[in-house]
Amino acid sequence: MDGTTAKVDPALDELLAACKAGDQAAYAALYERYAAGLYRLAYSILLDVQDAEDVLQEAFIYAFRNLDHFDPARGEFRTWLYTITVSRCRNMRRRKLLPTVDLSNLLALGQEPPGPHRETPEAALARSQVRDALGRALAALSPRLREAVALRYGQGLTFREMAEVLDCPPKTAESRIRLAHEALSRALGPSGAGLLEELWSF
Amino acid sequence: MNGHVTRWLTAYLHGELPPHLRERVSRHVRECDECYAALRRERELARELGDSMPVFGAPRNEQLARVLSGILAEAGNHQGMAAFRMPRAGVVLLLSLLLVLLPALVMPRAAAVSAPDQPAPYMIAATATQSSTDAPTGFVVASPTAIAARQPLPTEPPAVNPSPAPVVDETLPY
Repeated sequence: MDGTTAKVDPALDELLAACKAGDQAAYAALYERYAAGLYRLAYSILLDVQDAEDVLQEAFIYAFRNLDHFDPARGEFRTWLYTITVSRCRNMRRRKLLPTVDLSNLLALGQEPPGPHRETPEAALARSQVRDALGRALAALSPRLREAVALRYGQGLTFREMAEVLDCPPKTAESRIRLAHEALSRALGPSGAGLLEELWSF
Repeated sequence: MNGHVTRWLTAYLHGELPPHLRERVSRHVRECDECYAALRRERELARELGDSMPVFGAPRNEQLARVLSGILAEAGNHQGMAAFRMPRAGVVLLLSLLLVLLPALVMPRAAAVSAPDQPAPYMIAATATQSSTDAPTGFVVASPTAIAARQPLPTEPPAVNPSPAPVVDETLPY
């Protein structure tokens, strides 16, 4: 953690202590607290529902069995979970080599992101088109760049936290985001850029 | 205009530039149309990603419940959640026991079909008073008292199998 102090979360500390004491409800509470975020991370990287579920299960079983290995002095608990999840995603990718991505599956998943209030029909159409184009562009990214996008934008990690999870220098994490931006911009093309401008230029 | 700052725009947008570079980028984009346009494109993309990624692939409740039941089933196979807390030393101990017991289970049969051990001198001495007709020709059988009287020889291997080193999981994040 480069000398920085991990954030203190008393509720989490109690939860972890209860888990270590064998409290079954604490395990379920820990799962409930982090499962959705970890699933989104796994899905954003793997783009496959079944694989994301498998990774989520593997990651939690591993985490539960190795709670003693978590060292709060070295980083936040969620970062530790992200590290486990990304590692499991890489293993899964290696096992399957993910030849193709089912775009219909990709784009239909999850709840619809909330749009701005009082969105006009034109803006809603533009947003839908951007989301479709962005979904295709994300699927075309290399796995490493998709990991970076998922951690930065999907989980809100800083470059330093990303570096911790991805086991790389912060500069590398930053450059992966920059490369991802370039690749996404290229994939979106002029029409996608025009739609983005229509949506966000204010 | 020279000294474009496009390589720093992503870090600039994310507030991750040191103050002196941040100031330089701010000053430059006010004067350079090209970099200003690039910054706008970066910002629009970052806003869209920041808006859509947090809900991208959001799981349904039934998915999470399904995975949790899988985790609980895994725990159930190990007799409850306490199985998650099974100390690694227990696994190592179990492996050590297996390593100790495995030769004992396998070797007697193997020893029976292989050549007998070279008899020790005290065993030969004991057969001098024995008149067993059951023993196969060519074999000498030590009497029970002689076997009981047998002391370990200094050249015999140690009776205790050393425990294997603990297995280290290289995939551990820490």
